[in-house]
Amino acid sequence: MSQPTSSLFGLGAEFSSAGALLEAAKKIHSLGFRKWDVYSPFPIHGMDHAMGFQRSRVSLFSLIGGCTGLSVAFILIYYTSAINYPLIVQGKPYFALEPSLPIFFELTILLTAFGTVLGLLLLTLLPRLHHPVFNWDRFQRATDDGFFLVLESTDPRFDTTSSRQLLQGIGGLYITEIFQDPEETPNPVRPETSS
Amino acid sequence: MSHSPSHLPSAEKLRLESLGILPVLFPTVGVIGLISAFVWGLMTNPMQLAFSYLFAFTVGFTICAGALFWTLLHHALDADWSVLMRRILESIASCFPVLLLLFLPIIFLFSKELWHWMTTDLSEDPLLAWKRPFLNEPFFYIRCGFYLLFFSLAGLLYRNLSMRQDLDGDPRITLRLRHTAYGFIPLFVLCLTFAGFDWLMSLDHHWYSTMWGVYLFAGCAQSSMAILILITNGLVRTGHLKGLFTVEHNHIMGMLLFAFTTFWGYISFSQYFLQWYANIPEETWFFVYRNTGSWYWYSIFLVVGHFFIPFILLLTQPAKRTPWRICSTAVWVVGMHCVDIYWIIMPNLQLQESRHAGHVAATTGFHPHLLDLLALVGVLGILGHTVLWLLSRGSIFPARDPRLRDSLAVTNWL
Repeated sequence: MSQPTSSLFGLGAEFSSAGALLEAAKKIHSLGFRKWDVYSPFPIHGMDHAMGFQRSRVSLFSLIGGCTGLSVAFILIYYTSAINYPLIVQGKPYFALEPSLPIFFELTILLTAFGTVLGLLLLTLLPRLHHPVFNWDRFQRATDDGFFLVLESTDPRFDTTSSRQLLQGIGGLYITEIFQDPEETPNPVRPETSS
Repeated sequence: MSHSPSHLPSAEKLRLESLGILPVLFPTVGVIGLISAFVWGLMTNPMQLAFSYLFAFTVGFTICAGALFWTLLHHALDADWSVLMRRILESIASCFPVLLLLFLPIIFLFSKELWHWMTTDLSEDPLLAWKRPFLNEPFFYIRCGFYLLFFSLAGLLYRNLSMRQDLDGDPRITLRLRHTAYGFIPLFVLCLTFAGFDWLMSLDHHWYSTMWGVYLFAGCAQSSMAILILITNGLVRTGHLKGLFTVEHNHIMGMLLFAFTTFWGYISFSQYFLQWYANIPEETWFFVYRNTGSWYWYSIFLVVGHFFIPFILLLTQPAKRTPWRICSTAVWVVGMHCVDIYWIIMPNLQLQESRHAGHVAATTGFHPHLLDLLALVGVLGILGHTVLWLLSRGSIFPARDPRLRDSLAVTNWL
């Protein structure tokens, strides 16, 4: 068991089921950890609540996108049909609210969607080509049948020894140190480190 | 599910004494409102009474039809969240026999006052002659009877079988009602659409809109969801459904109210938009008249009040989860539903007056009449009393529905 080094990413543990992972997440959250995450093959109901997530800020980006879309639609219609190239069609006014509303609606929705996706990517720091958890070869099962919890070493409460005991205490299996650089990760994982 | 209760709650009776003056108020107001409206109206202004009464009847009818729709939808989709509130919906939907009685004055007293096509000479109106195979009196009355009988039977069937399940807990009743709902939903849609054609659209028999049925339906679903929110929260406030009704139920009802507020906005805009664009005189007439004089401001108020205000009020999550906020929005929505029905019917009163007088009537624009209020209060009082009476006949929720446990544990996973 090595001391935390600058290249240690964190401590990973596998859990036997989605329910066990949910209970573990509640425990870790109640202890006040901030830099940690869980990984599962499918969304687990109530996990965001168990991890103590606050309301997402994505909706702010959606709002900005929506307001932009509405303004763009208004300027586009008003400028083209009432200022730049006024043309009488079917005896209707150059600019009228009625035919504009569908376009207002469409562009508002479109740019809201763009804002939402962009905001999601910004807030989750995606796209990202690599992540240290991939250095743990057992972690591949996170897309199949594995339920994982990783405590990151940048958390102020992180300590290699006590955190390992903590993970063992809440039912973590195959507890493994995960390193930033692939060379430093024990590969393959030694089964004897399991609890 | 960590929230699910270990044992199921037993049936709960409505405690009328906890409702204050409501059990007395509803029948009193209903009877006084209707009698005074009829006596005063028949003596002074029968035509105003006819239209005021049709307005009041339509408000009551749409709310009950919406409740029947939610009941059918609950069963067809095998929903779980709504089990706890379903008996209330069933009780509202079982008011149709009363509505059938309330419809009799329209047939026997008011039909000639209301529907211009009944008294028009065919030689003067070739358009009507063309529509005669549909718009003739015998067929009209047969259709009215069919709609109201179908709604009555459907409402009673769903309530009675659900009440029977309270006694024997037979899960096959749930299956049977689900399968019936698949057949009833298309029938419901047809009946509501054609009732809208017959009672409201044919008030101005030259005008037509292919979106009329769905426009009316949007108002039905929205207003009855608002009524459901009010009744449920009222029951909770008076100490019923203790420990069963949660904020999650309010949230779901709020989401549906929000959805149908948007749906109404979408449908009513589409109806207006298509006729505005096509610009055919027969079609635009409806909207031109409602944009003339003070009706213009009334129409603006309808759009803002029926769509924009509830849309903004319901947009956030706390707005749906805080009882006083969702309830005040629901009150507003019900009020705006009355404004909507009034907007549909009342301009035709002035058109009828103009036709009878041979020139443009003295009262154009929005002119509220005390008879509108008396008739509305009368009809809603009678219906409110019926709902309370039906609710007090058994448990206020389906105590032995197989889905009850899921309904109690419902969560929105915020």
